[in-house]
Amino acid sequence: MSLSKQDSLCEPLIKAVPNLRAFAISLCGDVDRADDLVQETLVKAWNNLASFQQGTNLKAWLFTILRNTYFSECRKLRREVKDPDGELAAKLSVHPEQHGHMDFVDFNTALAKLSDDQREALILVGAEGFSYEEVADICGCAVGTVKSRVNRARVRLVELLKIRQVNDLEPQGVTEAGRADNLARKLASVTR
Amino acid sequence: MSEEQSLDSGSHAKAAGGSKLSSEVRNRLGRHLRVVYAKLVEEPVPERFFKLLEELEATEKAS
Repeated sequence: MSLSKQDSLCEPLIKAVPNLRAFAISLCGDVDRADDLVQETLVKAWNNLASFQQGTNLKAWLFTILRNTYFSECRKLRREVKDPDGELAAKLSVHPEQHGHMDFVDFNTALAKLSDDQREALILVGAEGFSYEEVADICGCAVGTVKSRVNRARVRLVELLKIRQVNDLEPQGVTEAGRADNLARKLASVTR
Repeated sequence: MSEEQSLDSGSHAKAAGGSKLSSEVRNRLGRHLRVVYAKLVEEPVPERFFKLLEELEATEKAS
């Protein structure tokens, strides 16, 4: 490996870390474990650079390494991520007061209750912006499987959040005036 | 991520379990998800990762 090749790898690797950490935390719910996963991922990427084709999607490749590492560790430990105390939700939480409503706490709890497969697919598609084809490569499954996991994740979230229609994402019994008040409160908290 | 993706996945197909989500609900879910996720992505990179890459690079140079 030429020096310049290694130098040019450090920067894209560091740039990928925030997203790798976010994904890892979403998967395992524990910041320390997530950081260990990211560390392992970076080391594996570095050591396996020969298998990475220049010009292909580095980020997708890194995500593949990370999630494979996570799931094989889970299999080795023979346990699923259980989160009875809602720690994952706490780790993901946005301060409720910033958004003036409890729905974000409920949302995080619901997200944590999804199966790993569904949460992973939903995040890769909905939060990271990978295409279905890229997610299929990352997860080692068919595109149809990704689509069905994403759909099931959404349906499950709706069930868990007890959303019947779009108005149910607002506080109970809200009226037009109430909705305007709600919006005003949210705007006020953002501009505070 | 494009809105077309979130619309495409469910607009013509029924989700598992036979229920069909409106595009508004899908979009609201997507927005919630992205806000939550963005908070995680905004976290500063811990020092350990800078150190790790320095070490990896130094080892590579030394070899």
